[in-house]
Amino acid sequence: MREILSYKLRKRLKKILLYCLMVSTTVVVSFPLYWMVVSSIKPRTELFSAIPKLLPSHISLDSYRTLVLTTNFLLYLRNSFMIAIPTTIIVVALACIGAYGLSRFRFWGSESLKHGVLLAYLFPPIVFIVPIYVLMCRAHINNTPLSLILTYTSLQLPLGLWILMEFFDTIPRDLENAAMVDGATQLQVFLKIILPLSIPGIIAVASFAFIWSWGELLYALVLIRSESYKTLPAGIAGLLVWGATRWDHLMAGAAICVLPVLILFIPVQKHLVRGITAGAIKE
Amino acid sequence: MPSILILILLKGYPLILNLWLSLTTKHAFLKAYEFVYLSNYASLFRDPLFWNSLRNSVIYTSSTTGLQLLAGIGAAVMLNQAFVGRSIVRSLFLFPYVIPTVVGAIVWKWMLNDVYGIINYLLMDWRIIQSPILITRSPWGAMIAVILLATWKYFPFVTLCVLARLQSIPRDLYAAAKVDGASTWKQFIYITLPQLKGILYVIIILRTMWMFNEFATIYLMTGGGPLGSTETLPISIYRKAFELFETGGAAAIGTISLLLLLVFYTVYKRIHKTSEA
Repeated sequence: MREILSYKLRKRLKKILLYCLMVSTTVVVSFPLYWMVVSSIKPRTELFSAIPKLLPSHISLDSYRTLVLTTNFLLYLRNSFMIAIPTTIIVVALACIGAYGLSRFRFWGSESLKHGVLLAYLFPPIVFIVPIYVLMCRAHINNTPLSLILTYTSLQLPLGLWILMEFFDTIPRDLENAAMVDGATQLQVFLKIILPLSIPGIIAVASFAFIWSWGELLYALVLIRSESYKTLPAGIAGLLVWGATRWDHLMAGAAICVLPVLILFIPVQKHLVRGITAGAIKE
Repeated sequence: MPSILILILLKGYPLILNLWLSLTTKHAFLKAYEFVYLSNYASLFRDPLFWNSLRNSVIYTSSTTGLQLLAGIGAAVMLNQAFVGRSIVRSLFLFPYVIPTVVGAIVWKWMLNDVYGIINYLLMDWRIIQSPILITRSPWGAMIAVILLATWKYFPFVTLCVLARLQSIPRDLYAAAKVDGASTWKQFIYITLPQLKGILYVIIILRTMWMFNEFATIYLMTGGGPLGSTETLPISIYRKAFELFETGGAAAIGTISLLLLLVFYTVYKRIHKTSEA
């Protein structure tokens, strides 16, 4: 009797411990984001007080108002969209075609190309910053959105290819063969059979490309120098690094910057996970 | 395949250009240059700032990768248990990784602010420190700040990969161990960890590579830190190329970084192979 009781008790305690751990770690991990949102809606007096309060006494949208009215924030926002959306579209298009080719056609060097794709993804962007800057200058497109779109595409393409390659590999060839026997052309097979089946993979590639392009900083700082083309991360970084820091602006700006990612994130989460772990996990 | 061509063009060509640049004295904006062969590298090796950057890179990379592993594995183990609200918690844990780096840096800088920041406030309130830590003044404070930010931002990657692997471990193993009287801790050490060896190998390589070349978190947090105390190799590359306009020297640092990573990868692979056999 005694043993059973203590076993049950131990199990109970472990469960309680788990819940405590879960709550405390979740709070610690999510606190920064909570703090940012709360700080952005605090009235200025509360924001800049020596004693920070967990909850604002009343909600004030002043930070947002002054941010939009006194800085180029809306311009940065527009620029970011202008760059992230085309990049996503191009990456998805090229990745679909390229991955289909790599997956379906055996040609000389296709195996090593596949490994090359993964390798290309693993190369961190900083390594290329100097030559790409020089390249863009030579092509006379530095300081234009086009340079960023091209660069982001090249940086995201390997991942897109890799994800879709794995996806296409799991679609049985019999489907295509059957369709072709029935008289469909290769293009029709691609459009009507492969693509609809690959929607999860496409979503993964698209969301990853968008989120990454949205938040990219290094190339945005280097390739764009004039205010009118600056993207959001570069613009906010400018507010952060130079001059007197307007924290109220920064909090509001950060909150807005995060918004598209959050909106995209919730429905797309599962697919995102596939994108993040791609290349790391070989099933 | 047109996309493959674009890939090769946009990835291979810059690499070669980088190598070529490192052998010259090309200025960032001007067209003139001259071939100086290896003198860029020689002057780097003589420059104490370079060795400082290297040292900072090693400290930063190893600390933040280690912490990410600890936090990531811990979180994964926790998330592997079934409990109410698990999917919500899992989403929350994923947030730091997907938000733009700027956002993370801004909010952490704000939290670490010496006058208005909540972290200094709490630390002083709990009497852990006497006066606020200024990350723009104290070198070790700055290093801790950037390590913290990177750990918070990137540990979900570890968690995701480890969690995926954990979920494929057959439950029978644990049941058998429990029957044999193993405690939870022993189960972790003798069942979970060995199963994770494969994925951990990949995770360590990836995170080390990516942290070694991490730019945004450090630049935004400290910009290289008080007197270069958080200036890592990527920051050096940026500053040399775009503040001092010496693209040749910057390219040289880039090449050295790449070589170092290659060495690391080879050595690590060798160690892994021998431990497998």
